[in-house]
Amino acid sequence: MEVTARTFLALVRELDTRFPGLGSRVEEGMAIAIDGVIYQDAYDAKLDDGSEIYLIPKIAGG
Amino acid sequence: MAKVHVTTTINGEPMEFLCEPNDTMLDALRGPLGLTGSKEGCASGDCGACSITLDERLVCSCLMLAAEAEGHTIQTIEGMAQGEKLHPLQQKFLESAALQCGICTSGMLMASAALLQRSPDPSEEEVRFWLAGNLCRCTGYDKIVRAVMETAADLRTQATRETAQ
Amino acid sequence: MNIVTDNKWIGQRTIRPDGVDKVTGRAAFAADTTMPGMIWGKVLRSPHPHARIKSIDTSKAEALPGVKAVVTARDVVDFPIDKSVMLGIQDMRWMCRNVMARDKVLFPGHPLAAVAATTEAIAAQACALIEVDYEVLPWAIEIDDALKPDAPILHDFMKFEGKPSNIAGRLEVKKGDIAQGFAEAEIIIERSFDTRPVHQGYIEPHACLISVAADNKTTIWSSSQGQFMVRAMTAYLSGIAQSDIRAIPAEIGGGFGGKTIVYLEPLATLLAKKSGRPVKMVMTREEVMRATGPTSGSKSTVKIGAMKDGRIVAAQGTYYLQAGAFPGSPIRGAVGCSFAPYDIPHVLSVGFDVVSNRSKVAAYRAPGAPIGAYAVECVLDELASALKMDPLELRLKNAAKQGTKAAHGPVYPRIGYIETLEAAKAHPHYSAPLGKLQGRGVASGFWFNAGGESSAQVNITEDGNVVVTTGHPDIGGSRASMAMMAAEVLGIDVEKVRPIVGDTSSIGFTHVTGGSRVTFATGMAVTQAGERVVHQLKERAAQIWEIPVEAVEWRDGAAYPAGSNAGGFEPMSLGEIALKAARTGGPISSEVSLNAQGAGPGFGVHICDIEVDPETGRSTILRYTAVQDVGKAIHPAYVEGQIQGGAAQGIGWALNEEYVYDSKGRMENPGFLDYRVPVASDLPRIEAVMVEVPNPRHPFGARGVGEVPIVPPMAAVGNAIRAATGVRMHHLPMSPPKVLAALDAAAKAS
Repeated sequence: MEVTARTFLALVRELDTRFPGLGSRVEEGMAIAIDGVIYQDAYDAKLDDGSEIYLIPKIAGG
Repeated sequence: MAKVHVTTTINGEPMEFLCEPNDTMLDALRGPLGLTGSKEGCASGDCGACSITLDERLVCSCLMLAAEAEGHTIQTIEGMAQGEKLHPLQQKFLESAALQCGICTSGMLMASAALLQRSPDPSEEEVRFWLAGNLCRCTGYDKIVRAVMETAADLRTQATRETAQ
Repeated sequence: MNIVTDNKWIGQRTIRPDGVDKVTGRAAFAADTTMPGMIWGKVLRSPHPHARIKSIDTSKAEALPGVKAVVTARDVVDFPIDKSVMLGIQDMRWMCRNVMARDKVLFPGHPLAAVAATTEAIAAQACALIEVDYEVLPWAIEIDDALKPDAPILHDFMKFEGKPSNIAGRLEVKKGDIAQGFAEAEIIIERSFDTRPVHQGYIEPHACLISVAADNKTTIWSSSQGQFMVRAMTAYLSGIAQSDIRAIPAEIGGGFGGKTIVYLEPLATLLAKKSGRPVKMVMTREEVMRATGPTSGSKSTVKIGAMKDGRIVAAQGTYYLQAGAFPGSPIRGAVGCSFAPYDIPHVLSVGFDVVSNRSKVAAYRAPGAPIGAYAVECVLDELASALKMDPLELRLKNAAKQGTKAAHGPVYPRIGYIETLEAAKAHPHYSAPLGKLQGRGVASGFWFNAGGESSAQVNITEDGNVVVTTGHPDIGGSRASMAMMAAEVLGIDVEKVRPIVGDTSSIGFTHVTGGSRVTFATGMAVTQAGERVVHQLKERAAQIWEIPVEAVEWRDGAAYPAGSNAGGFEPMSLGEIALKAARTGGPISSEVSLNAQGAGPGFGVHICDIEVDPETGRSTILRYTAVQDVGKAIHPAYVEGQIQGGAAQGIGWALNEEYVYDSKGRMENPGFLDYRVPVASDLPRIEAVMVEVPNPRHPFGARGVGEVPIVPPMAAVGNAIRAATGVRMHHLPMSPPKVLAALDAAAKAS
């Protein structure tokens, strides 16, 4: 899926526009891997042109 | 039912306290006596975190009625150091990182001290079986066993030196 | 980031600053605390695995002399089922129902009411006087039972593929095209495994002491892995504002993930508010085993396809994990970690979150990962055997490295899996001879490691010492590492640094202690705060010397003029500058709050030698070596300690630990006698080998270490038993009766 967004927060908003409710689910429950680097709880994580994004469930430990 | 009045000796000091007839020694230590160094991990004698000595014998204080302390001598973790001076086992545990969360440490130290009292040159197998009644979930026992063995060796060396003098 | 390599303290085995209190019995754990006027709280718990609550009558309990307050679900804030409210990874909808049953009890031990009274005995008596009218319902605990077409459904709202179900969720991770992968493969091995639920087994039961004043100002002492989590959850569940709550972390006697949520605190808070007295609540061992958060039992199927030369081309894993009564099993760990050590072109990893009538799972050290690794690493062992390849060679051939795209998404930065494998292979243990009935097994493990929010404050005292306040409870000795990092940055003796754990009112927000994140994330905050303090110290020296701050250097705990042009000033030590702090601008301190990103993943490789007694089925571990990439061992002894402790827990999970249920769905072995954790005589020395491949994202190169070591042991032990006996155990624990039965069955079959 292709999305236009510069930051994680912008991505969340775009997803919410296309699939109402999805954005907030992603925001609450997911971490993001941007070109291989994982960011968790980072609205300002930057997406560059052509970045490959993976959404993964938030990492928590024990 | 009226409380039981108990007179006993704890860590060399004469002490008196009141307890319910069905209170364990651990309840008495942690309650009226204010000696919270002995810990409750299970209250059924399986974890050893409450280890004390009763007339120099290693026991789980949760398996002993408080009233049974009448007329006997009790040693707890609080009596192991002499003022500022830590017992060699306590010092070695610190140096060897033989504790992580510390909840089992009181019991481990009491049990280890009791072992070295009766067996100054234990094999590793002996140490492990002696300490089998003291559960530790953090360390995997490795550093604890090493600390006990090393302390035993240190104490033997010291004793030899003292004998020689 | 430049990693500091010329270290004075990092890598030393210093004595931990909280150590003396712990070896003298003086350290205050939650159950050791008292407050004047304190009363005791007890919980009434369901005897049934599944029942509707038709009515609860607490009047007799309330009338008992000595009883000061009774609470039920009415008093706990309700979070409606239709709206998810997340606190980290916990959903408050489940938390509010977990701490106190609403409408239905869903596991034996589920709280229904709580009583506060002047003595524990009276509180327990009062609980017995509470009358509950239950409509007992059919129950299901095991995954198979929960998935049967006619299984009792725990939650009316739960649907899977349109039908009422006990499947709360499904997670899928995909890479490439699995069908193509298996089509290409020259050898395919598929096996199924199951594991029993196990408990984190912390020796210290949950405990708290809570005081609520008439204006809601609340003070909480509790045993937890996060005082900020305690504050937040208690606020959400009691309705008291977070800003009115001060949560103080007592020393904690083990957690391993099981104390990253609350059970008692909301109840004690409500009781304290109602009674106007401080309320202390301490769980019994039985309550801990029955009603806290043992991890999932599981059923897994793993299928691996490879070429004859050992290259793995396809890997598929399907994992069913028990969630307990409410959604939330760690499928992300099983699904994300199991294949993570390998570079595999086609992967399909699917997890199912299954609810059933046992207590809600809580995190347990690398949640989900040990379950997945057990299955995968056993199948890899079979593959190595079929290909007549050395098992470590097989792993090396397929090892992930920097640039490898992991199936769960990330491209690995600099990681140390290959170095770890090579260290294991080169270790004398790997080539030591073995005797009869003895076998050797190896297995790998992976954990993501977390970063997250941490705060740290560095204060220079007026006499030139340093106080470092951080916000995470210290479970494993991390205070020592914090002091060392601060000492390193400031260039002073570590003895001059006093690290303390602050409460929620005295330090900035810090996420829970867990996820192997403390040395990484809080260490980062400490280091940054220390660097800012160094800058302030230079500014003060510059002021005193009347030179620009750029002309001041900081070295070995003192300010020096940088070069001869700066001026011929005598160096000023931290102590000297501290004395003049008031006159040069005021107190010298810095607080840093950050959300650490860039945690480096961790890898471990374990080697286990076992001897199996053919008459009893008993396995004796002869030798155990745990190799792990730790990034940089800040305090080597405590890093070794994490590795040894995690390995020991994994060994217990492999060989003896399990929940045994009776015909009424209740746990039969809720004590340490029959819930058999490893004791000192069960284990040999555990050699911890630390490989250091520094994490470029941490100032000292640290990686999280705490969780990785529990991931490999189950497969390492299973592979060793296979090597010793020829028998593959597909069920955990591999306890003597089960091994014996398997040996007998194998003998009969041949």
